[in-house]
Amino acid sequence: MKESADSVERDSVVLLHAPVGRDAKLLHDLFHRARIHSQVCLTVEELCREMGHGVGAVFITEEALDAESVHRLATVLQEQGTWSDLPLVVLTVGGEPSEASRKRLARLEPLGDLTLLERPLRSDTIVSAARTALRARAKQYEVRRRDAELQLVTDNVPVLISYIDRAQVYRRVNQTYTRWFGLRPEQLVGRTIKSVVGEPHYTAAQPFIARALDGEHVSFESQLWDKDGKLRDVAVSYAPDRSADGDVRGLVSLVQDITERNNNERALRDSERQFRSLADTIPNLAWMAAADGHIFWYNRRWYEYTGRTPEEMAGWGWQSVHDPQVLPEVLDRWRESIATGKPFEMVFPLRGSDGVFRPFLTRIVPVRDSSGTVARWFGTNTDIDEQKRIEDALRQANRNLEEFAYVASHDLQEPLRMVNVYSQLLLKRIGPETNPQLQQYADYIRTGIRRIEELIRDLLTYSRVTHANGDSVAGYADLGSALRQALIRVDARVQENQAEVSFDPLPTVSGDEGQLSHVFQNLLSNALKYRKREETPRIHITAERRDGEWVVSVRDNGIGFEPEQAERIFGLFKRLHRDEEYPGTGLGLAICKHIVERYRGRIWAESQPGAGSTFFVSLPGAPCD
Amino acid sequence: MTRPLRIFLAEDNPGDVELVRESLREHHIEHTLSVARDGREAKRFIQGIEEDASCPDLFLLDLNLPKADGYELMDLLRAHPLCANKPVIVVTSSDAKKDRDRAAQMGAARYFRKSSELIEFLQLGLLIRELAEENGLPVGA
Repeated sequence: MKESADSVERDSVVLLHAPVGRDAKLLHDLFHRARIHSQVCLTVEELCREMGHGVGAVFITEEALDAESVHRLATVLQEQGTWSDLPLVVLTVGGEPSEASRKRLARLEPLGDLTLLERPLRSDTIVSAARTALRARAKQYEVRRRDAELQLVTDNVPVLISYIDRAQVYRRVNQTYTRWFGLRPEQLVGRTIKSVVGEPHYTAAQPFIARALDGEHVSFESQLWDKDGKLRDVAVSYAPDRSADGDVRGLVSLVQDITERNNNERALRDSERQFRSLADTIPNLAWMAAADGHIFWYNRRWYEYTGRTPEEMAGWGWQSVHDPQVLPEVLDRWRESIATGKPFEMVFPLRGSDGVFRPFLTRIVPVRDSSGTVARWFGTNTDIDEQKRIEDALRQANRNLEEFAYVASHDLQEPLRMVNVYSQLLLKRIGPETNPQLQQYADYIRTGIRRIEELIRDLLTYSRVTHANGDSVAGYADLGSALRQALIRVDARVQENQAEVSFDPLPTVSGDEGQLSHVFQNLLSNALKYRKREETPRIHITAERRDGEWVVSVRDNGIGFEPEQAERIFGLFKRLHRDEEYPGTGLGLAICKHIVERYRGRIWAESQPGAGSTFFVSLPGAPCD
Repeated sequence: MTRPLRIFLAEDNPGDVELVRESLREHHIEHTLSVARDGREAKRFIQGIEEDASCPDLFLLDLNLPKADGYELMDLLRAHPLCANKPVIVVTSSDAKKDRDRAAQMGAARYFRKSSELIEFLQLGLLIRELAEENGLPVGA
């Protein structure tokens, strides 16, 4: 910035070199009065040095122009940029100049904008000459500035930009040429196209160059070696440069590297080809649609299944293989997806070539471009006829199994009741006093039966999770209320253990309140059962939102367990303790898992021996929360 | 009024029949007990009641009986001119709410769940005594 401010100032400075007499002083004063900046240079060395820093005009007396001075000046002037035509005012001595003087002036003539003023001088002539010189100089600087701007712009475009004259010689190139060819602009300017780009490219370009020089705008694609010897794809365009009278003087050449773009397009074409051949081998029906839903491609399987032709199916023709009863809903939902860009999923029937409708699970996902706009849709239809039959059979088998478990455990309880009640009656009849061991035996019977009864009860609960409640999985459960119900049921044990139970507000989730209350009951029972003898049991229940789900945690300060057991404890009949340590059936957590999974939730636990346990239950939230 | 209480019991499990007897003995209830061992036998018995003098004062019905269940028997009793108002105790191992509700709805006076604890089972005698007293029936000492 500073440099340019300086140079602007220098640009309007008049340098004076009049070593003999008072001319320098007079001129300096004169310019000062006319508000023209001037600077006196006592020697020609000083003058040349100052000129190198920028100058508006030079006033020099003829007598200062000896052979040595002219030589030095000429050297400085020759080094000027092409834009520069420095105003040089020579104050001559009156009368005819000598031969030597004329020669010296002739040497300077082509190097600057030379003006001769004959002395004696009128002051207004001098001032006027200086002003004219400075105006001309200001224009030159302006041209230079614009040229620099243009160069800056073109140098920063990743396109090879050049000006080529009628002789097919580079007149000007941008910096990109240096990056491409590894040659500096001055190494390129003046060379012919052919010598720079090489034979193959030139052969391809030559006809287009000819047309451009005939006045046509042309563009074409070709290949061009770069400095690393790589042959790259380029897009070339030539624009003719016409003079005012319409003659073509040369052309502007723009060469853009399109290798990457071409590679991308090739990769896209290849991947699309691969994709289509892959899509033709899958057993699903598959297709692609434009962003507006117009289907432009189906895989082979589609035609095999429907027995239709591409012409019948194109666009929205697929409707003819739909069940007319279901079609309106399909159309509604498909149009909604198209409007919103959301994926589509639905099961609907499609008619096969045999005329039979079979259920298909249809999934359609949007394929978005880099800006996120839906570019196309990709859809699959999966025949779930067989899957549906298997699922139905499985569901039936499960129902039967649960029914069996329910009935079996029910019928098991009856004989047990008999064993228990009659062992007691037996003891009552014989009288325990006759043999003290009888009471002990009766107790063993009773303990055994209690245990079987518990097992049966838990098995019943387990089978009831799906059995008793039918398919009521669509409801919502207030977990706060479920927890309160559970707390009422374990209240006696809470009192007995002098436990401290605290809880935060709990959300409403998808699920059945009664069953989720059972989960709480089981977790609370465990927390109380596996307490530390010497410590007040503390249980805290809380819930937090995580990734669209509610995660409820039940934390205790009990004996904990080895982390590697964390999965095992949820298995059927899996226990970590002997029965005399901590009695139980090994079903409690399996029941919890069964219930939670029924509502598409998960249950897991974290613990360390001696450091308490935390049980987590994640459940989908109710849609209203 | 010192005649024994006439009790009818429909029960297929002989063990339970004996426990019912034990509970009556435990609570010193003077009684005569008629037992039907399946649903059909019970139906025949009820249909055969022709005079009030031979009609039981109290019916103990198991729900889960072979050949005809306890509900059918209750229907039959409610339709019987002599038995329509006699108290019924459902004696069952079922703890299901639907059974409790249905029994109440059909007019059973009491619902007794067969316990696997002797002491609890013997409470049936107490229940019978209460019910008999409520209905002004003879229950002995």
